[in-house]
Amino acid sequence: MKYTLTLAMSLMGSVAMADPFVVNASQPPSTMDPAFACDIVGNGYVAPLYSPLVTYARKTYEGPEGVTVTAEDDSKIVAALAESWSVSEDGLIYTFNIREGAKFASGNALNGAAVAASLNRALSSGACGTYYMEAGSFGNTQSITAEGNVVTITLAAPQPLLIHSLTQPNLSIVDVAVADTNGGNDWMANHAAPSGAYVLAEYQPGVKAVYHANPNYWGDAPLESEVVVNFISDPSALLLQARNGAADVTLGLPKQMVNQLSNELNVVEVPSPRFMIVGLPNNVAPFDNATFRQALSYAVPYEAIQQSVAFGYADSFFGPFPPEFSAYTEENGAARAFDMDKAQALLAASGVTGPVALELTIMEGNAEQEQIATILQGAWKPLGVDAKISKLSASAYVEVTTTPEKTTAIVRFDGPSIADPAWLLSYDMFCQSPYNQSNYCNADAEALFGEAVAIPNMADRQDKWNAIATMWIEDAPRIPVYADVFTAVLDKDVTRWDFAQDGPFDLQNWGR
Amino acid sequence: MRHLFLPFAILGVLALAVFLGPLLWRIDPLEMDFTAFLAAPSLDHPMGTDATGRDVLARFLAGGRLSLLVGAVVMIAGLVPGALIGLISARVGGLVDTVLMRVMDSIAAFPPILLAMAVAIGLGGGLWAAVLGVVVSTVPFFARLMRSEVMRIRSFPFIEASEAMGGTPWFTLRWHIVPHAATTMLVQCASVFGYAIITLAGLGFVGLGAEVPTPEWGVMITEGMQYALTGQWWLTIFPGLGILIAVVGTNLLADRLSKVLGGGNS
Repeated sequence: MKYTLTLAMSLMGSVAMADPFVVNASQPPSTMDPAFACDIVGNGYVAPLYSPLVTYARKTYEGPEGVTVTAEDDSKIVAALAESWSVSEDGLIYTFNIREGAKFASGNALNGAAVAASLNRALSSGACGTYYMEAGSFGNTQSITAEGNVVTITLAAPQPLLIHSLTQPNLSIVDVAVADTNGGNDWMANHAAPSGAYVLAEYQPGVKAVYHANPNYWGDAPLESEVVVNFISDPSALLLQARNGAADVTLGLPKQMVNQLSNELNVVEVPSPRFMIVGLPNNVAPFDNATFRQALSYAVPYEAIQQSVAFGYADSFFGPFPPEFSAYTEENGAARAFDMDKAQALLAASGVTGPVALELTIMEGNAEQEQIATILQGAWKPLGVDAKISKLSASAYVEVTTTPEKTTAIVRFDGPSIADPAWLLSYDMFCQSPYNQSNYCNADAEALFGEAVAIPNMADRQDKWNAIATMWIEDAPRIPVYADVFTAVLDKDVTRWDFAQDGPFDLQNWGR
Repeated sequence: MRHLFLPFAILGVLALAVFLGPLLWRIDPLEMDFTAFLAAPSLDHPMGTDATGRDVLARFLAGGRLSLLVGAVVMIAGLVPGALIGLISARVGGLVDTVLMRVMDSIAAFPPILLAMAVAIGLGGGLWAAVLGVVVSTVPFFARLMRSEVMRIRSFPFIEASEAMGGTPWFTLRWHIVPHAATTMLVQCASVFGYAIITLAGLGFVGLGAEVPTPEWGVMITEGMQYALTGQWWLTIFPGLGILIAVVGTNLLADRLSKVLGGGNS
């Protein structure tokens, strides 16, 4: 009897262990091809499938009781598929030694030639793969070659961000032979040619993705052998499933729901380099007047927004760099106070009179953006700004945010994959960048940027970043409403969780 | 007339509340209280506050005024062209009747809410685009009803008598047919009034009606929906109750009017 009971219990235990690890997420990826994944969400679903050459070390965060929470430490890069690497003294040649005996999930050899083929595929993609492979300096990558298990990347000019870029899923290694055999880029959009901890066992775009542990993975086996990711756009459904224990991890819940669940389930909070901004159309009068923009920036009830929209899962700052950036200091990013008197004084000093029409662009269905826009609509009214809220479909919103000429104030959640000032400013501050959400254009700041990136040691660039930040704060091109504290809701049985800025889907480090 | 007491009482109380309420409750429906987000109903805020600290009672009253106003606008704007088309169609007959009725049939072939949505989207959204969308969807109902009423009344002996006494067709129409058809149209008006309120709330709910920050019951429900499962029930319950009371009141009125006036006709 005792034996039978033990057997039954052990069988029940093994059945329970065999349950897949379920992740419910609000946003699906637009592609599964790492070379073409251009947003943080897309990168997250790609990351578990492909191995990067190098990766960020991990630091531990204080999590709920019984949960070990780790996150990227972007100050330290460690080996991954490349067991070692070196950079020439002039910073132009990067050499990577690929692990001996590594294999793709297909069984193909994961050697130097395969790595070079994958990096060349990214470089020639014409999409985000190119941007990452060039680390934002277009035309800088001269060649990617391989000899045996040694891969060499040759640059035209030093680009210390390249090593950071190589940590990203966009440059993780793809089995190009498998991709080419099956139809190339089109096939890769919905399939995988993996080298990472998982293989893509099933994928229904917009519905679900099923990951199975890759038996040929060169590294440690992932904590969970099967992970099911369900894409559920309705926050109420996400909330109910989390409450019912149908999901081990729930991502993308509005903060007020996270706040509500914090009494019932485990909520992990990780300060992230992501932020909510309002980009002002700097090329459109009177928003081309820096004093007027300053006036608007003082008429924002920052704390109230953080409490009512982000439910406290937010930090304050005012400057180009959010607090999670190593370049952030109290001097170059201290929070701005809500001060209507000062706003009125600045408005008078700006010389702007009469009602000012402004369109606040938000994405349809994004409750947080709508709430921020509504608050700003009311807060800016005393300054004579007649703001109209324009809700755009997801595709129309993307078009507006990437069009070179911005004519409306865009409420946007943003954040660089690499938390470095050079990476952020190269798209967020440059006059010609289509991702510059405010059309901010300051020749002096751009000249300082050039001087900063010419300094090979990234740690020695701080003075330049401070000088740029001073100009930026004076110009107030956009309004950083808050820096996000990333939240995930974990079922009580989850004991390990990891945050990566490019994800946060380092699934191999999630588990029960 | 006692049959009409209940619907008139319901609508009367609602109308009094939303039109006279602001005289007593003087809070601006757009004013945000940054110290009271999502506050539960209390003496300070009898219907609580929303996610941006706005007083839900003030928004409820303003939303009610808007709903009753647009209900009336839709009713009148649908009745006038619809009734005219029905009259002309029935009176002139022949090819005109065929063409007008086929046009009305074509419009009526679309489910009203979809037609209203299509018109609202085509005009770029917003409250008045939505109102126009709802108006367009109500015109065929008025037109067909008026036509059938005219045809029915025309067969009555008193119409024959009027014509035999030398009354011109337009005299008969003006003094004998329209007054008799009016009772039926009145019932239809009450019904359309309720339909307009709920349809505009529906359009507001899906983002095609009133624009933020206009207080409108449908928009208020949309704004409050994500809080329904986190305990802030007042954001959806009160505007929902407003719609319920208005629609029940108007439907009850239509039903009772139909009984009262229908009895008189027969």
